[in-house]
Amino acid sequence: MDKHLQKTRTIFAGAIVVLIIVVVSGSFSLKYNHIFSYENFQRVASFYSYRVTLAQEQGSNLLASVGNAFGITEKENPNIYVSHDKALSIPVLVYHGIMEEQDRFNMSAKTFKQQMLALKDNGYQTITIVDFVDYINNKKELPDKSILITFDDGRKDSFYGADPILKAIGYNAVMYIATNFSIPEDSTKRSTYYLLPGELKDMTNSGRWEIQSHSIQYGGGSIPISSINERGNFLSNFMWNSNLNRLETLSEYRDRLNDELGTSKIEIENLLGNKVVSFSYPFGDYGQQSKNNKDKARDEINKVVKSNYEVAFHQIWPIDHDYSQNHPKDNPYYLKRIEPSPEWGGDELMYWLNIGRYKNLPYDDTFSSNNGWKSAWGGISFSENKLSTFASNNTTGSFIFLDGTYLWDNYLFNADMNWKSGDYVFLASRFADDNNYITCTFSDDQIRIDQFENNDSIRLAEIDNKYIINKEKVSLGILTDESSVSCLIEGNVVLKTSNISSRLSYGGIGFKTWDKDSGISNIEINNVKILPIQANSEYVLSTLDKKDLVEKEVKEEVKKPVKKPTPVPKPVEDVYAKIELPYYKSIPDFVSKDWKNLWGNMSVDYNGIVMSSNAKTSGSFAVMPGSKDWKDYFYTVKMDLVKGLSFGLIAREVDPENYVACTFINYGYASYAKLDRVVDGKSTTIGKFKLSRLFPYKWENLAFGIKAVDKYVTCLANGDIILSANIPELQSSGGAGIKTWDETNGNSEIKIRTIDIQPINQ
Amino acid sequence: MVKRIGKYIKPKILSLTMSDFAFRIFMMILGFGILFLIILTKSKTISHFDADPLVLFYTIFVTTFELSRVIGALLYNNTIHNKVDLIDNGKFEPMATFVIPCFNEGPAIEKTITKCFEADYPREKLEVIVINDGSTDNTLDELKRMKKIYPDLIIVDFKKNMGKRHGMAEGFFRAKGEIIVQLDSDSYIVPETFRELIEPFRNPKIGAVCAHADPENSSQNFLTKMQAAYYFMSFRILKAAESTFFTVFCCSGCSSAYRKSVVLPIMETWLHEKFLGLPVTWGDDRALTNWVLKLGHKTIYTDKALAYTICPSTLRQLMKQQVRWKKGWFVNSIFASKFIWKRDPFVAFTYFFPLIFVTLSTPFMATKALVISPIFNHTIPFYYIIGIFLVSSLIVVYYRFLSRDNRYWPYVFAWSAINMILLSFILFYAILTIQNRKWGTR
Repeated sequence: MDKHLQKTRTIFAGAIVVLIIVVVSGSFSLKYNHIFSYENFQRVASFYSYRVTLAQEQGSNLLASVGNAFGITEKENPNIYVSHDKALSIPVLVYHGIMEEQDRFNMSAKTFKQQMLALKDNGYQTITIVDFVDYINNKKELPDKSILITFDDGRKDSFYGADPILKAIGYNAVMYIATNFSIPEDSTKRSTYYLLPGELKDMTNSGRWEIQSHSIQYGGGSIPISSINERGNFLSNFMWNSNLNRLETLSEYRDRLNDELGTSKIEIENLLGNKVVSFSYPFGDYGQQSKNNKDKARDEINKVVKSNYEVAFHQIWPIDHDYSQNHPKDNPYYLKRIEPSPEWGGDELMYWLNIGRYKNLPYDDTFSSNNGWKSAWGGISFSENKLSTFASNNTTGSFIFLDGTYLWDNYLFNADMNWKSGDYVFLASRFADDNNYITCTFSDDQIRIDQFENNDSIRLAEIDNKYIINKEKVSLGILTDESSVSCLIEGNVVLKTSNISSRLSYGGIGFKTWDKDSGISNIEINNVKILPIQANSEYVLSTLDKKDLVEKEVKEEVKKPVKKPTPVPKPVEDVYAKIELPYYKSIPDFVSKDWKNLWGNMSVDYNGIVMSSNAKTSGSFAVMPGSKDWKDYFYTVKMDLVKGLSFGLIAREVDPENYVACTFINYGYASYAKLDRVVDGKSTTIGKFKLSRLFPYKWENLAFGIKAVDKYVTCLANGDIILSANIPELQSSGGAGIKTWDETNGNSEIKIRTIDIQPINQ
Repeated sequence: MVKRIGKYIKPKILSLTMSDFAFRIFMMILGFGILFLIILTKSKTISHFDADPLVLFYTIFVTTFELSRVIGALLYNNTIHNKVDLIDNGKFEPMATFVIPCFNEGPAIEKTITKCFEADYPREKLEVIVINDGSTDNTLDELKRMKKIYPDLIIVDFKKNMGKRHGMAEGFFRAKGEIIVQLDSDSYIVPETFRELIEPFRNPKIGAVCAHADPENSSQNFLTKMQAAYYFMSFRILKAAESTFFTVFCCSGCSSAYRKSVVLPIMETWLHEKFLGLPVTWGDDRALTNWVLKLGHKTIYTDKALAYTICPSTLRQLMKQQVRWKKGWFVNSIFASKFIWKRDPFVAFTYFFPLIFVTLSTPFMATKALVISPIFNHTIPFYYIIGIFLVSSLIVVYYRFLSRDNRYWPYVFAWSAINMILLSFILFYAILTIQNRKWGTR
């Protein structure tokens, strides 16, 4: 019996040991398994539910829909409509993430589905990046309504959120990954936020996704660029080497670029075996955002991109001063993408795609709606079937152009307008982008033909304006035919030249206004008419309504006195002394007179700054009155959240009712940050960001930051940029502050260990 | 050879029908599937524990402990006392005495006594002693009526209520039998399976044998159905697992057999047992079993001897019973912890001490996961509940594997849920009111 018992014990103990080994090793090895994940089950379930609803919408009954979704009953999968026309331009969409709740930067799965179904319903079909590259390189023609869908950053939520609907309607997409996160060298530091190799392989194998490069992004793509802890984008700036106490040299910079762009390409190709032919500029920065390397960044980046990739995407919506779609003649390294807003439904997406499509000639526009007029500078407005463009308060002029006209070449562009104010009106033709175009320039004194080419402007022709112009109702025109340009007033050619640069052989139309004083120039356009030149320009001209021009008599000039605003005396501010930047304080040298406590409690001493609510307040609020004049700065605190739900960093504080704030809310695993703008006490949330699960649970000695540069505000947590937004109406200066909050009175407290505010000089 | 009758006998593998065989295979696959899901759930929570390795250790410990019970139960069939009929030494029919203490059990006592006399055992080797512990109802009249039907019935009548222990002891002292079968007044042993309770005593090292008990009133209501599931689980899985190592810590008071020569010497000590200065009025069965173990004898459970008992049918009764059992568990665990590590270190360290740790920590972990974290950290105890559900599922799968016909298995989930939110906290109520020594078995 004892022998038998001994045997039983041995078997039992062995089984327990095996069980523990299986549980522990199983748990750890399944930790990053993506197939048995909640997201993946949800992805598969969503796909089938979409397929069932789509089949139902196509008229099958429920049973047949289910059968169709699971491939039981015979019915061809999503029918792919192919247009017989050729694509004259191709739009590229870029998305960043698909979250449960939409915010300024992330789309909800529902909206994304709406947008995709709108594309499908309107006959759009996705293409692969390989086809797109061939199209741009003029090696391949594609059917009309071809579209490329891309995602930046390689986030898990993008794949899991987008894949079901893409699969259900037979679409494919391109994912740009940062290999530092998605193909980590140290396999123990694996992200729960970014896609990982297993997922990337499955995506590639599905045939629905192409994985392309968003560079390596060491350190998240932000690098130190000066000795004072200033940071900048990693591709466009020289990096500060704190060991050697100097910036990196040009050759070190080149090596770094080659590593970032070349190694990431090789890593993806080695992992997935596909060709990496395209690149997406992180932060959309191809050199234009450089802070310490303005001269070389663009060229250097371009060289490295060229040697590694066939195409690269830069432009991100909504920046309106360029055409929104891509053409075979475009520079393949600065291709454009439209970033659909999370607020767009299917109709809005279609609107934005339609205005970018090629507009057929002849073209008339009477401005009953905006068919693609975009402002590159100054203001634009539509009212009562009229298009107005005008200088805004801080511009001397304005510049608008019409999207979808890029491929126009020989045409007559005529406009009827009310020249309300301003010295100059320009009609632009052969508009390629806002650095390359030709204008007929009209003023009271002069008529000119100007050619703008890569930031150089040449006056091709000029004469004195000897005609009387009825500014309230004037018809102006420009005719471009091969290499000749003519300017027209009331249908009469008044100036002509025939030696435009061969590089400006095609391009669209635009209007420009200008005055020596800002906020003055303004025109109101009643209609535009564009006629193609088929045989010769004489014929086209003959079709225009012509009015005889009257030459003006020589008059004495009368000058109007210019009103100058009398300066308003500045009210004397209180006793707080101005604080100079940079401002750095840590335990034990905080200065209490730098601060003004407006609400709740605040103590400033050698132990740090403690802000807390009292029995009567749910939070606290304090500002630095001496910082009101600050403009661009990067403000970081290191602190503990002792009690309570949230605290916020305040910047550009003009008064306690006008500021922007990055607020960080500790809800455990559901923690998030938001970016708020407060105007006259009314708060508007501009963006929200869920703090990743890897973010510490307890906020102790953590760094949080807010950065305000010009109109851009950025929130940072633990060194990572988590939110950023362009707030056009943002006040250009204002001070720093802190607030705290909790649901219950007296339960809010933070302790600040370090405050670091660095100026940012652009 | 022992005669085995009808449905009570566990079928041998060879006699399984194809359908049963397929069912078992399916259950095995399902079991591995659930084990996989348990591991998967752990893996999804593991990143939360990076900051807290103690919690990770705890969850793995608890899961392993609970699964180890299933492993123990799986080995039960293979233990020596289940193979006893292979070493057939001919007839083994020692004298057996039923000892039935009763208090106000008028309606139930007839069935109990009848079933004793119907036992599949030579009548001359059976003795039935009923102790009327000062009942105030018609119990005594009932007993006298039974005496007319069964003249061999021995009635002991206490004029005033002495407590269950005294009743039991009185019966033990008077018994002529070598084996004493202790029954609750509302319980009985299925007569055809009675021999199975005596059979293990062939082995001289066995000191006590616990029968498999199911509630007689299972189908009465939700609570009794739930208890039916709990009884099956606690006997056929938990006690079976204990029995695998010949160390059953509680031979259930409703139907267990003791070797008289083992228990008689410690009767006086057991009878006057005290805790914190007061006499102990609950956990008598557990205490007696622990004494048997302390004296170095083996205790086992047999799934072949079947007993039925009445279980509480209202929540109030159930709670009272649970409080008594928890008190008994607490007091006797202290007692057992003093000797078990010397007596059987394997059981002590693979089962007994882990059980104490898990039982005492469960309420704290449940409070943390279900109350504190949701309030203070705003987390939903999703994984905690899933984990408990999965472990329960695994137990259910094993339950179904053991008995395809037992239809109360869905109530295992209900029991787990109630255990999670209520019963595990009762232990603390029981400990806090440990000085309340009211008598009463039910």
